[in-house]
Amino acid sequence: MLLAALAGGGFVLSIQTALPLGGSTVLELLANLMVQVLGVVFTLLVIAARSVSAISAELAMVQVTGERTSLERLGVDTRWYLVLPRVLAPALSGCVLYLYFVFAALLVGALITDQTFDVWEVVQIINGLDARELLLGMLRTGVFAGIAILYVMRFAISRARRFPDIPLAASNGVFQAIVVMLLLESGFQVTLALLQQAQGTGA
Amino acid sequence: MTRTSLSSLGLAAGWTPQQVASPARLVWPLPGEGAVIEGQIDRICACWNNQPFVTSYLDASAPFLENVSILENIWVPLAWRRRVRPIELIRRAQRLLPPLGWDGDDLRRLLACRPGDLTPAVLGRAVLLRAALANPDWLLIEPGWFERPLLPPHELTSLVQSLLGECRWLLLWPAQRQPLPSGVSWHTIPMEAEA
Repeated sequence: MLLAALAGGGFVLSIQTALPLGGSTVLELLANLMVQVLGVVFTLLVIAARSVSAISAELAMVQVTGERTSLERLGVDTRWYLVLPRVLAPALSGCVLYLYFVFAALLVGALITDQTFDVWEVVQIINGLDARELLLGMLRTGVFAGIAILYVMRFAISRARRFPDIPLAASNGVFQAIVVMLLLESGFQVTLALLQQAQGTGA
Repeated sequence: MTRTSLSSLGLAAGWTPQQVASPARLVWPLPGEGAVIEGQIDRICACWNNQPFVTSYLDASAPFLENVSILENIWVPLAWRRRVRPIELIRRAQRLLPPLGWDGDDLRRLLACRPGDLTPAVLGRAVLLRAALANPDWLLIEPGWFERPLLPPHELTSLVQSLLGECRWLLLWPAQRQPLPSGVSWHTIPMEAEA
């Protein structure tokens, strides 16, 4: 919430200071920026910082104490029992968190704008958002979060041998997740730009 | 999870777990040490779990996941491979309570606890309860059950006998370690080299 408030408020303040734009134009700019890029990046960063460290530490712990081995010996497939829920849950919650960030930033932006706060203006901007862009943002957040967590979990499980490896798994996990998430998002943005360029050339 | 066939485990030709009469008390001598033995136990468990019979496992080193309740720790392995009706499980649990020295309230309290909240003796009984609730055909016992026991020595074999006496036991024991746990008449499982 604080991140979204800082993003929304900071954006509105800096744009209005630098450019002679009306409040609704600034809010539209903010909405597009949040939906297309910042909403996804913020959500992924929050998941990396909050969830990945916990998941990595927990799985490293399960590995080091031998609990994973015990489960396997009891006939439980740990890929389904331990890994899958820890990939699906952050991926699904990431989709919702993305929407939350977008709308929270818009709301804070509207409160900070130097014009009189008009609820209907904000509602109009929200109605004007491209549903496909929103859906794509949600989907991207979920998929990128899932891929990054899956990548991190492989290392948390395979490399943890002793107790000192547990905090290492947590800190390395956060770093690796941020790198993977940002690489995926930048790869997506570059691909999108190239596609748009190709379409422009074709037209 | 590794998939291992019976033939790759080095058992004597023609020997299958299905032909063993109940109640047998067998020992599987595991050559090697440390990680080699652990790897062999993994393979044997994977193989036994892939057979059509029901297998339980007695483990003392890390028997339960620390971050979930005993209820989930008991339920997940039981319901993972076969459909289990909760009402049938409750009936079975009620029959198992007197030998464990518990009543219904004790069981309710136990199921709500996390493993870290329990004493080793209660933890050992919970491991036995989980194994017995499966109503197994085979009971695999890891070396730690006798080497780092959760239960007091006088209950270590007697409680297993009273709860799981009717099924076949297979003790996975390091070949170089002697003697075998006392109080049970163990027979060595026929291996390829002996055939």
